[in-house]
Amino acid sequence: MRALVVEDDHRIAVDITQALEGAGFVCDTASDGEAAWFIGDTEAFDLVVLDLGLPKMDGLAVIKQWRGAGRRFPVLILTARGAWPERVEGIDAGADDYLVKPFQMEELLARARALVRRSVGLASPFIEAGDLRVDTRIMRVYIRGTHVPLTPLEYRLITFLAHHKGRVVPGSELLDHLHGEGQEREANALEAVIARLRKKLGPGLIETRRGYGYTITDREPQ
Amino acid sequence: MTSLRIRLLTGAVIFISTALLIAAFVLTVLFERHVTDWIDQELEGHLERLIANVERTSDGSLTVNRTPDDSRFETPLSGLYWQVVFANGRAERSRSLWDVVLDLPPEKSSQAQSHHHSIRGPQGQTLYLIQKKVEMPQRLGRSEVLFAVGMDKAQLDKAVWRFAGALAPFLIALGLLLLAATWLQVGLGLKPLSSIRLRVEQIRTGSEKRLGSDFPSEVRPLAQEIDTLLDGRERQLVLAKARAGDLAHGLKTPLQVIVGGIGRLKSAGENAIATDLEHATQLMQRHVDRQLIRARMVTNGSMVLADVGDVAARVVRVLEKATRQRNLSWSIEVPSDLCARIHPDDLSEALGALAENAGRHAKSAVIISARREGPAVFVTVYDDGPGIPDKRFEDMLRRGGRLDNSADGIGLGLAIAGDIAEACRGRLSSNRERSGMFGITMQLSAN
Repeated sequence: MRALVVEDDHRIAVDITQALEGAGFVCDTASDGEAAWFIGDTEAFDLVVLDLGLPKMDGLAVIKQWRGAGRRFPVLILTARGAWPERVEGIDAGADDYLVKPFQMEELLARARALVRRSVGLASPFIEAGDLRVDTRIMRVYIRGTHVPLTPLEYRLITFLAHHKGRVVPGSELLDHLHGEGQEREANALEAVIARLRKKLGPGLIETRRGYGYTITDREPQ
Repeated sequence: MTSLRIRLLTGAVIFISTALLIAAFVLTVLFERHVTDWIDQELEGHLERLIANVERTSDGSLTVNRTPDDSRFETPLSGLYWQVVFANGRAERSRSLWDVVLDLPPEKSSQAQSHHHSIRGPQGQTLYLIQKKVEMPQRLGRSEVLFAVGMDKAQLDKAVWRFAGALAPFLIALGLLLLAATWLQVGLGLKPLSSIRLRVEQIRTGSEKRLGSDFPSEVRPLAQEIDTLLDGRERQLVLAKARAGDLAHGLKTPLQVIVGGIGRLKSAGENAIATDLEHATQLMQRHVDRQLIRARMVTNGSMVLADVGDVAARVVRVLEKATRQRNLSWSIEVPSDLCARIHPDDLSEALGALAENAGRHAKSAVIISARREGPAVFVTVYDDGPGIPDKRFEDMLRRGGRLDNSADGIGLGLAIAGDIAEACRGRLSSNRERSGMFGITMQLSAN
């Protein structure tokens, strides 16, 4: 899962980024509205955490531009002012949820996970596909009830596929959502991670559709 | 006297009455003078004719051989008389004097001018008298003869009174006309003030923003001054809100950094310090939140009305999205066009705080309902959560929304809503009118 953290205060941005990375997200950051708009408009994200009081371009203007350009990722707005008219404006501009500063990181993570789930139409923090069960609250993956330890990259990949269960996800999209900006995105590396996951979770869970991408379904592995 | 209209009308009544009385007096005096002049001319004419008609009789004495041509001299006690007194003391009189001899005032010597006198007439009445002592010509023996012609003064007075009597209704009619005109003029003159009062009322009720400049030039400066005051007030409010926003940003960003630090302390196993700091930070946050709401509050002296249904819809729009994962049912039961005297931003804050609390504690449903009862509007937020026991609710309100014991956030929401309701001269109360639901009602003024 790839998240964009837009916050002009460096210390807060670091705290949020660390919390999200600890929850299995890979994060990109932006410290002003213009940079945020550009990154959000050109890269694929599963979640955006956006502070409203930004230099260069106001957070509300950034959301409006993203939504105007058809960007549909869930946006969690952070506001220091906390005034209700501002919250209404944020939600009306296209934000999906809000948090008033100061907030607990646990609250932010709970909202972030809920937003990501909601964006793919899932209601529960548990995602199940055949023998696979992912508990997004504690970032654990189970096969037939047995916990399978995964690396953060492996967890991000299986969680992304689980969130998009039944859909064939192209390799390029997977790479976009697994790595932050500037990180290496090699197709071979993706193949290697998929191979490791098949080894850990069983060979039939992740299907390869040649020329299209990868998918997991509710179907029992054969 | 506090009424400008009564003040102006009283002044007008006094002024018009005085002016009309003076006019009546002056006109009567002028008329009297005019009539007196006319009578003077007539009496002088008679006097001259008497002087011209003195002749010597065969026995050598003087006599008036022809009386003036006025039948009143021949009619007894007609009011017009003449009397001539010769040097030897003999007197000749008009027949109108009948057998009365006028007691003429003495004249020192013959003079070219006649003199006016008031004497007692034949019936005791006052006579307006003109008399002249004339030295007769040589042919009439150069003797001094006193000629007098008099008229009953009552006739003169009667003419004056008749004139005054004819003048009075006209002056009264004129006075009434002037008063009516003054009434109309005062009404027209004060109309712009009524328009200003009406426009100020419209501003107060929110249907107008400013007085505008469509007033007569005399009151336009007043309207402009009021508009300038309103502009200034609005600027101050915007500035206060902006300052509150800046203050919020300035205080809450460091608070967020502290919260981040607390998280790191927890990760490092310093739980005791982290918990202490966490409590202190939460308390600080609540105080900051409450004071910021107070600073942002624009309701004091608010001149706008809030559409309750519209504000409720906005609040629900936000909370519905924010609580989507909990599948809460949000309903609004507010009659259309129901308005309350509160700034919409303040109603958003109060309703938002109550609805956020309700959403946090509801099992499955939150209802925002509102109704109008006479001059009051009751806005209630119901939830099917456990609610607040009556005693605790009363305690929380009595404490004035103290925040230190309200770690669950209910206290802050109540304190915020309570502060705002109080600023609008309203109040908060709790109820369980709906079965299985707990409601907090904010009473506001309708207009």
